[in-house]
Amino acid sequence: MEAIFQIIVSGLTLGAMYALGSVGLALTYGTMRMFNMAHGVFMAIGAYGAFFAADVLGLPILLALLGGIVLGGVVGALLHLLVVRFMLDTKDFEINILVATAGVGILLQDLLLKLFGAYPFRQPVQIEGTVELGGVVIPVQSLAILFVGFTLISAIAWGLTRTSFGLSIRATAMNRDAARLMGVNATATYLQVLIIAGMLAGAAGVMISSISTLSPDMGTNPAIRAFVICVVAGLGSVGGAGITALALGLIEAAVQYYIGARFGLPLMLALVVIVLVRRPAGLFGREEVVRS
Amino acid sequence: MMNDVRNNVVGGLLLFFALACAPALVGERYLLNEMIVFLIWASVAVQWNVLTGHAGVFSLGQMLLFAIGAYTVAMTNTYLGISPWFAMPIGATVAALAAVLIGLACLRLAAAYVALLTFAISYMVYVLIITETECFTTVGGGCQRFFGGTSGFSRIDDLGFRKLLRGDWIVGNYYMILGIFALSFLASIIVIHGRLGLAFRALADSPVYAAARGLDRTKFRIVAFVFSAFFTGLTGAAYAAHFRTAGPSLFDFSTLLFILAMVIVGGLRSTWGPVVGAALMMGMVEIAKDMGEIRNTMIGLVIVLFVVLMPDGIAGLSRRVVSRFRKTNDAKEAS
Amino acid sequence: MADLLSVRNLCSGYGHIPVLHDVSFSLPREGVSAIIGPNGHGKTTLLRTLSGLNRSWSGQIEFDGAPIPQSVEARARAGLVHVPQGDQLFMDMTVMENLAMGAYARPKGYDLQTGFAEVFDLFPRLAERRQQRVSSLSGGERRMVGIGRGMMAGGKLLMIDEPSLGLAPIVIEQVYDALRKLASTGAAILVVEENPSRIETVAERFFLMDGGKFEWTGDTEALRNSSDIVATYLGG
Repeated sequence: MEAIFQIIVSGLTLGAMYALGSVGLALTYGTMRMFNMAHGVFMAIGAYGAFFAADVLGLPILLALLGGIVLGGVVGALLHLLVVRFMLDTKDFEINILVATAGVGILLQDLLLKLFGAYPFRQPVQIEGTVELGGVVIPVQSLAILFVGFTLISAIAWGLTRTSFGLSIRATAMNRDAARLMGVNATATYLQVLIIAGMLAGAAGVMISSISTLSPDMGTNPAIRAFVICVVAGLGSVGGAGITALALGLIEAAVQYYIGARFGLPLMLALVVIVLVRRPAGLFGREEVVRS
Repeated sequence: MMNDVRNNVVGGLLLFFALACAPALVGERYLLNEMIVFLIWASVAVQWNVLTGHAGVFSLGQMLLFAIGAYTVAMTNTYLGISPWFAMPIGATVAALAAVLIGLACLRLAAAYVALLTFAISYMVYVLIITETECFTTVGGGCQRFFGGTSGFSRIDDLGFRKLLRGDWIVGNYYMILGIFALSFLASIIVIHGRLGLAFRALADSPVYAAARGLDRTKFRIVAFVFSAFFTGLTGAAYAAHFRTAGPSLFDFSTLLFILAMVIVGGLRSTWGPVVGAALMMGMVEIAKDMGEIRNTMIGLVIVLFVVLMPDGIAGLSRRVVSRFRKTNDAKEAS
Repeated sequence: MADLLSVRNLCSGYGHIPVLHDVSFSLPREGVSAIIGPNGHGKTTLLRTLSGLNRSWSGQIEFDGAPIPQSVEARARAGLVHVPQGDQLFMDMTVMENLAMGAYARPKGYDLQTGFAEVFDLFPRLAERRQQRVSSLSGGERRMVGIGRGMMAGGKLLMIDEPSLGLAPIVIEQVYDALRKLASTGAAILVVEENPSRIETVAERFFLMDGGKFEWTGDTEALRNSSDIVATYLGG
């Protein structure tokens, strides 16, 4: 019983982090068919931003968290203004943008390495201590991650479905020309989407680094999980990515508990392949997949 | 079409003879070693271009296939004492078999899915290798993990040139690698300009029409993937045989992007682009060595700049220049 | 008062292939006009060029007394509303969300309920389906959402491309009844329609497009008296 409770708590914590990491990625692909290979580095940038704000500038942790999130958004905006903007509507956009963002990723990762070095700093933006719930000892930080994750994801879900701004993003994703005919400025929408995705990645980075350490390549592993989550959910399905993230978090927690941490990712990938053989567009995807 | 093959093969042979003369002209072991590295990455880039530029499969798992070749040589030599000479074709075959499995799992899917899944699979293999803890045997007093763990394999038997050529052993290795590059490049020319390349073009230009004519898209994609995996694995095996090591650093993201940069700079959809791109990138990194630690920054910048400003690479640029030149010539003749 | 829309020597096409050749015409601020003519002769291209989805190659467009803005979204904001061929709805949104998107360019204070009421008054069927995703609607219902979405914009000119395309005759009747009601409010509407007999009783001004130019222009009476011309172009 305690074991199950333990698995559920750590599974939900993992799931909340995965959701933060993958929802922005799914939103970007869904809106503009752009898959951001630099997403993992965005996470690292958010984490270092919060670290810098708390450790060097001495800001309180809530402000530092906010700083990390904002920095992620800024990087997202820069990516749009300096790179993506020039590539929209070009031939083979889907592949070229993968290559370009991979280049941006290695560039930014190198920048982080030059600025902060490879030393695995501890993330100061976290809450120490543990609480006991139902006979299980839970780190307070796990609860904080759950709280931040669910707050931000709910805010995004609310914004996308209940505001005119969110409506315009979804409209652009479904039919760009029709959205423009309604007066939506698609280029501005793309910029906004990349800012949101960057902010979510920044938040994910702060959370992930709070339970491990900081390093320039800290985003690689969570980004690959986010890729996998988006692929399973069906690329571009935002709600699907959130649900899949939670489910995979729970599954991974169980696998870690019973089999060992080493096999979390392999089992996840095996699951992905099985899902995709049955449903080539992913669990929640509806778009056409070129079949032979 | 046959003319195409002939012209390219003749060009390839000229390149081959020029490269074959190099040891006579280049005395320094360091430079010869750099040329070996160039030939290795050029071969990987050539195969990647066949797969992505021509067959339209955007794989990010090329270094996994490379590593499979290298690890096969390392493991069969360390555990079974098999000579690297014999292990090289085995490594290529194992890589091709792995490609069959990966291809069956992913290649039915759309482009972005293929890229992400092949990337995730390589990463998974990398994580499984570096998190291995149990010792399989002890070698030289140290713990040898079955897949080498974080330290990988070293002290692979040499190819025998040290005994044969003594101080000039590297010349022997150079010719071995040159042979493998030539094989890989020749195979790519035959595929690109042959019937297979024609099928790839048909499938890319008009998937529906090609399907109606009985071309099975997934089958051709898997064929291309397995073909390029064979030569990529073979090159990886040759890498392990030359350097006498194989380790998880082969999976470095920066190495993957270094080779991707060669393909992009040279130009996807071309024949010679990756070779030119490999030479340029090798030269650029060589220059960068004197300017501090800027290798990765430069790789990133080059990739972004080329994709944004010149997505067809140098091959595309030269095509444009040639066609403009022809146009002005035609205009002159007409007037 | 000046014309609402005035087009001079407009040329456009796809890639290198020209479709529209020096099209000139103007529309007043009220009433229904119709562009008729055989398929594949530039009617849709003209609407797409007016709304900006197709780039215009040369020529001038003036809208509401000023040169028309460049981008699609700016034209929509200026009050030029295009209900495109094949509806182009937001398929994963509900009927209400689609209608709300129609009013996206309206000023902040606009009360959506007013617009919903007008649309549901014209298309009572949509009121019943308001919470359904449009992907689950029938072809006729989708057409109604498309026109309703255009109405929600409250623009100065409503351009509707082939409102009868692909619908069963009885549904076409319903759609045209709605257009007739809409016309009676005095709105400016431009309809593209292949078959002049359907639009004859709705529109008051007709432009016959053939080979990318207007071959004939006239009012309802002139159309009735020129059955020979119409027959030449439409084989009817």
